[in-house]
Amino acid sequence: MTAHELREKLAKNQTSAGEVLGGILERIKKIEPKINAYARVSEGAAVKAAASVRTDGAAGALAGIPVAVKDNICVNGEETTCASRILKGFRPPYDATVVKRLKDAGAVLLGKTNMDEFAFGSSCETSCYGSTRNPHDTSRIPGGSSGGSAAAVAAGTAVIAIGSDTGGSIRQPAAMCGVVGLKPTYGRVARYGLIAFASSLDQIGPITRDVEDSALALNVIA
Amino acid sequence: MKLIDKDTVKHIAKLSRLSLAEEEVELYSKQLGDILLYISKLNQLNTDDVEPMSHVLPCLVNVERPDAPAVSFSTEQALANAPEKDGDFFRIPKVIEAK
Repeated sequence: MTAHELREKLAKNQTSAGEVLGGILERIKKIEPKINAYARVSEGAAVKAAASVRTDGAAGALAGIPVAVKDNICVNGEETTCASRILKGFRPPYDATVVKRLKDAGAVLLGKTNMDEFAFGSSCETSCYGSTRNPHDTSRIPGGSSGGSAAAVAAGTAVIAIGSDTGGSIRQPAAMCGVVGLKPTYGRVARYGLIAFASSLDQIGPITRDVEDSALALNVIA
Repeated sequence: MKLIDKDTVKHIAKLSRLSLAEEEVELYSKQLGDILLYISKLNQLNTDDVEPMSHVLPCLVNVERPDAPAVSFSTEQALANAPEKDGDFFRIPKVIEAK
């Protein structure tokens, strides 16, 4: 289901943030062993976030929507490693601007997605967590470096995923996984909290099931 | 004459903290040279009428927060990821040699 479809159901009280999250977590348990899209799933934090999602008029644009974040983007207090042993145990003491905006919009963060180590790759085969598989054919690569993010959205283990693109790292894996990837115009989305690859080229952007979700996500993070 | 000779490869490897076998030094010497050659194709462009720039988009302006004091990290938070600490300080290997 797309984020915009979920938003309608949530607004009409046809489902709850907890229920939506429960469904995704179940799917993750079932599918993740075959796909390996996640470096880390933060089940505890996600359950807490879903429980505190607002359903009143002050609900954010992504209230209750499960979102995964690439592991080169800092989430306060949560391990952020860029899929590298060099950063094992690193817990940023702050949220990236994008993460803060997602949280303020009520998004439920599911965890950090797998990637090529420090984004130095286009296949997601260089991660210290092992390769991510393409959900459409697990003998194939999902692309990279935002391979985990693209695979998670394609496999339905995230509704929206955030990736980063320096020379194609959102667009290419999105194409390989059959989902929508957008690299925003340079400068549109803050890089604060993104562990840099090439600072004059890096941009954080959304990977989604459809274009409407892409717009929804971009409006929140930009 | 190789663009990148074996000594240069070894030096780069040392800076990168990579240990290379002799065949790898030979291989990378050629490959790194090939890469430089490929990039030098850019010199075929006539850039006489092009203004030097730091970015293609001319309209970019840095977005900054107001320069107002605000609560930042506690010493504890700042040192939380330090592999080694000494009281309120980061402890690191010596990088400056006294003459």
